[in-house]
Amino acid sequence: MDRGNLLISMFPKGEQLKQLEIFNASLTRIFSEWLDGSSREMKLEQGLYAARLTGLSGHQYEKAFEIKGGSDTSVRLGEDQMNENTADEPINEGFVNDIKNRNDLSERGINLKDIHYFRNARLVREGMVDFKMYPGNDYEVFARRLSERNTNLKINTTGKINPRIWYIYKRSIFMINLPVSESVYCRVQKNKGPEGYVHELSFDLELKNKEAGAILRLMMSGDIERAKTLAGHIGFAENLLYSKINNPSYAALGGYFLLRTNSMQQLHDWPKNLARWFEWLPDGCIIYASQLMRSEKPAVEDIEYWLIEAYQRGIPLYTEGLRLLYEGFTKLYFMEYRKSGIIDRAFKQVQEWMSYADTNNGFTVLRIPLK
Amino acid sequence: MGLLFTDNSPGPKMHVLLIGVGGYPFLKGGVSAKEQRFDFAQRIGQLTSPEHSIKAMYETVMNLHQSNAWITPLGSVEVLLSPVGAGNSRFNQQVLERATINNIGTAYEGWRERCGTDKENVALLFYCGHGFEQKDHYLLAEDYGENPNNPFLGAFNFSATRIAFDSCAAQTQLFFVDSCRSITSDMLTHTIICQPLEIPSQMVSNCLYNLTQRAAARNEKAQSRPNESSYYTKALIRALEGGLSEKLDDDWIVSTGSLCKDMNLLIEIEKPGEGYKERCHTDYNSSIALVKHTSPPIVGVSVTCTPDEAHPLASLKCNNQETQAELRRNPDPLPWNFETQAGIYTISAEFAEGAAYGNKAVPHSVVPPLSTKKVKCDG
Repeated sequence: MDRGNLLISMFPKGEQLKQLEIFNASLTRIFSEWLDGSSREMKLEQGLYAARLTGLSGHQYEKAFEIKGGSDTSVRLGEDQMNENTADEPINEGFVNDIKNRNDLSERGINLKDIHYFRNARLVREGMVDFKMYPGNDYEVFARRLSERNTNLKINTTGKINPRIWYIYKRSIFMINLPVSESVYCRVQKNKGPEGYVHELSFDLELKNKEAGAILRLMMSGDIERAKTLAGHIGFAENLLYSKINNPSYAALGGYFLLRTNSMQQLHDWPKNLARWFEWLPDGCIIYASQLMRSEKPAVEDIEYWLIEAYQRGIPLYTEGLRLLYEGFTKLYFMEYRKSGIIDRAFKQVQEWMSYADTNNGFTVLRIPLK
Repeated sequence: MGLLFTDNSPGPKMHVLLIGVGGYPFLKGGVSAKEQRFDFAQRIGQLTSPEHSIKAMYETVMNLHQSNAWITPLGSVEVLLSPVGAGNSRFNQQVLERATINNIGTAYEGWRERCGTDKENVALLFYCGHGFEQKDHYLLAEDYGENPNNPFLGAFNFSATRIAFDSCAAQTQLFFVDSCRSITSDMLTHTIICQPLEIPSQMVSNCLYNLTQRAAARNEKAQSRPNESSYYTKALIRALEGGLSEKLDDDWIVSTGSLCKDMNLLIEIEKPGEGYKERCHTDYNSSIALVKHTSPPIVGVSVTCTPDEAHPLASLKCNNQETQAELRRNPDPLPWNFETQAGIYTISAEFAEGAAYGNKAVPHSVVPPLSTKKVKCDG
């Protein structure tokens, strides 16, 4: 059968990883690869095909095309299908570069009346929140009213511990946990859906480490198989050992990913180190407790110790951690012989956090009604 | 006994428990309605959809079994159903037990035991009926409200039950909950104590393959048209029948991953406007194949032409070169919506002589869950 040349150009251009898949006329996948270039050439037998491009944002673009024997076919994928909500491209407008620089904010047209600073979670001007519910270490937070437009924030969390955004909207305050040592883009958008039922806002965090961000998105969307292929492509698990020192937030993400994929051997003993070395990060304790639960003979005392330790450190960075913490305390709470004042308190508190959580988000986002 | 199917042959099996509660005798409109003391019990009444949803789910489970589509063969199917009004439903000439809290507890116990006989077993529980969510998610049996002083004696704590089930040996655990998760202001002022069907008793981790899907977001209602299956049930059935399948090698596979990823899209097909992002909530860990279809699934397609002015003038055609199937439609101002097997098609727009638009033919891939194509006809 005659063959023809295929040239696929992928948009947006750049060095970002994308997964390219090619399907034949009966929709059997005949090619799949993660690529960091913006074009790919191959020879195919004549016939009808479909190409699918999956970006690191999780967005997919599809196009069918025909290969004619002896001739060239050019396919541009992603170009006319991108929309403004796609996070593959860096956000390049509306940054708040330094949340502590009032002049900078003012120059950017942000009304200072609408900005409220919090230190040690002591002050909220727009309403009252019981901050005892959110134990944690000293962190710096800020809040801003949402304008009618969607809002993009750029936040540098280098040197901060447990950084968070507090966002006031209508009669709710949103708390968004942020990773450390990062330059984070946070896109704030209004959610579709009936008012009062859905979280009114979604907070989409784009990380400097695109691969980590992609794996988190894929995990949360249920596309764990694609997440596995990406993780394999970039040697994700191995990179974690390195990133533990540089960035415990990424290391925690790796831990959750390995737990999800039941890759227990690859966890080695680093969850224990993550729990011990970073005393402000609840997620290390949760990952370690989950690892202990999967051991041959789980020691309830150890699991209980690390879950309580996680609770005392505060709200987990990742929603996955909050879910595991809730499950862990539910089990402890119902085991009457384990019941103690702290387990009772922790269970009720974590239940409360869960009831406020936006479980579609990879990072923990709570919507707390203002009293 | 609501056990409608059993296969005791050796090897891993899938064990199904379907619970439907539409008739609540002690609530508003019920056959033994009582004056309820609490607002949250006064507000709710009879549901017409669970009977239809459970019947449709049962038929789907059995049809997939007849066509050998379940990857883990069916081992048992048990059904509890409380239809609206007095009396019991019948499936296959067998009288079904009503879904009282006692019957649910007994059925759960038997189902759990069957599931626990092999770690390769698949456990599937589907519930359709009223639900509330305060901090935990509570599901209401038919005797909810029998004791107006504590209506929750006729309910169970689903959140804790789900967590307790982690200790079952079956490593694939599927829970589909088609109920509301709403909360009333009255509930906020009372401490609700609602026991699980099983008390979490071991510090074990999640099973390897967990899919726990709720039809509604927190604080939200699940919806249906009267006397029909709910939108969620229809979407779930469509998904299992291939609407959320992916082609792997020669088969179309429905996996826990695909059920997690795109269920809202199918709900949107069933009820436009209901399939928003936060609609259907899923807890999920790793993906495993559940259903295998040997033929391509049926997919909804919508074709329009651009610019808009070109669309009403275009004769549209859709050809599949593999199967030689061809569909046609004469010019019409509405979008061309049709269903066809998944595959790669050539979609053509043809215009009468002298029209301002040229004929176009473009390849288009039709893949689940739904497919849209805009044919550019300018010049």
